[in-house]
Amino acid sequence: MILCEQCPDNPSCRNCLLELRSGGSAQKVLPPRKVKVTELATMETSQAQLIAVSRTAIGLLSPSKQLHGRMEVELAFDFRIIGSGLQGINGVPYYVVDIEKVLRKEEVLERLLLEEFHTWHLRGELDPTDVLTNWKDRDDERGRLIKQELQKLSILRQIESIFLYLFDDGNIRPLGSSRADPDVETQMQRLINEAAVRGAGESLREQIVSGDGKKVFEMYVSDLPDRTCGIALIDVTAAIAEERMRKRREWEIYRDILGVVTAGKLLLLSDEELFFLLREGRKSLAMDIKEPGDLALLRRAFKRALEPLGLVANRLLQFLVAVNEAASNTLKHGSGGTITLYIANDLGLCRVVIHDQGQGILLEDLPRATLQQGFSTRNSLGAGFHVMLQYCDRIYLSSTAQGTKLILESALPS
Amino acid sequence: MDYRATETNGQATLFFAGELDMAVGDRVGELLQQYGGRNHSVTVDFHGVSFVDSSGIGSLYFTTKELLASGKQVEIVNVREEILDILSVLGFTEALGITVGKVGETGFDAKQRDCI
Repeated sequence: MILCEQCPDNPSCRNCLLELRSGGSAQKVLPPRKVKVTELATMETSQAQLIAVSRTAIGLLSPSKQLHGRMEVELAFDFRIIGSGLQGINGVPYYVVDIEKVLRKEEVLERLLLEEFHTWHLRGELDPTDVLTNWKDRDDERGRLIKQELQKLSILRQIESIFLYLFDDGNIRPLGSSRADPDVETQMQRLINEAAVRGAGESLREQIVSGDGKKVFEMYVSDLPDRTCGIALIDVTAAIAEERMRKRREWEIYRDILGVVTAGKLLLLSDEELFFLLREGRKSLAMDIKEPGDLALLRRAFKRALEPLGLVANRLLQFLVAVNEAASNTLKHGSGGTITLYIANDLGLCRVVIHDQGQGILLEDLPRATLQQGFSTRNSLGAGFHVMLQYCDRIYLSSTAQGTKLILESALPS
Repeated sequence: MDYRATETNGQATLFFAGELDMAVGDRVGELLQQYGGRNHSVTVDFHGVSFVDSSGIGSLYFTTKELLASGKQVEIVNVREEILDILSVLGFTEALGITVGKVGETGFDAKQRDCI
């Protein structure tokens, strides 16, 4: 197998993707991204090109250095991948890195979220560094041409406003007639002054919120060779709002589908809805689960607390099995969690909240994680959710990257 | 969880008692592997088992599957009604296609046992 010389620009070439062994989910990175690679055993660094991604592996071209063992691949200062590398294709400097961890801002994930990657990748196109590096003539005509180039980027067509500025002799002046609000320009000036104090030579990217809190701008500053810099200020307010709306709509679709498929037994909840739901009951018992040995203690404590509520023995065992399954999941997929019992006598039901601070369940994984038996990567039957659905009257689920809250509900005998 | 084992003429019987959960699941699978590996058939007596979950039964499931694939005989007997219901919901019995008997006579002697 060879790596096509035009790769990754040749659409029909899939050699680099096949080596990722990720089925049809692998995708090329167009254009390729420069990344910094640090071999963790030696802490030696080198440059490589990221040319293919999947949820579980990435493909790097590294002509200058062979890549082996565990390494950190830095896509950006807040976007790093840790994994193990090996030669992907013999005779070609192409390496496949199996993903162990993805460090994205404050999150640590076990796989690469392709949608987020592409969003990040496209946003990267907004960086005017490449366009501005060779900027010699600091006139408005040049600014117009740069703006014209930037406007070709597809993502910019969705952005309402982009303002370009030139920083020269301590002053900022707009390129063209449009300019941002004065308070935004003031913040921009302050940030650029701070960057100037720290020293030139670095591109700067900051987010600016307008004084009234209603607008958000991404500011990209690119140093130019002659101690000036070019600034692109992009109003991303609408884009952020649209993204939030899109995610909310997607969440609502999943919520509706899961509700219909389970005949209303499994309901997705927002954190706010969950808060109000729990206020309906009285907190009766709370326990932390940190290791498998805690599960037996949990079952005994919850049995003692639930027995007086009048559940018949078999029903009580079934509900305990469900609670135990949820508690076991916090150990399988994280480092444990907190299990809390709420009793709502007025409503004739009890609810058990299983809260873990793991990585959460990805929205796209929810149907399989909750409905498909055997969907598990650990040494179990992968039937935990199936058992919960069978043995509970209703299940509420709220899952984010900060953790998962699962509420198991059982009716109490009247 | 406790267990006791007997072996006679290539036939092993494993008696389990207690709660089969994540904490002991792997050990139960290892015991089945150990006795199944050196006998033609293994009977797993569940009379003393008062609790099972998907994590606890997982290792037993995969070990049973391996033993069956290698031509060994495996059966689970003396399963309490409520435990049988959990095994059924877990899909354990259906997936393996083995005999799972309800509770009857048990050979478990609480005085002769080892702890897992």
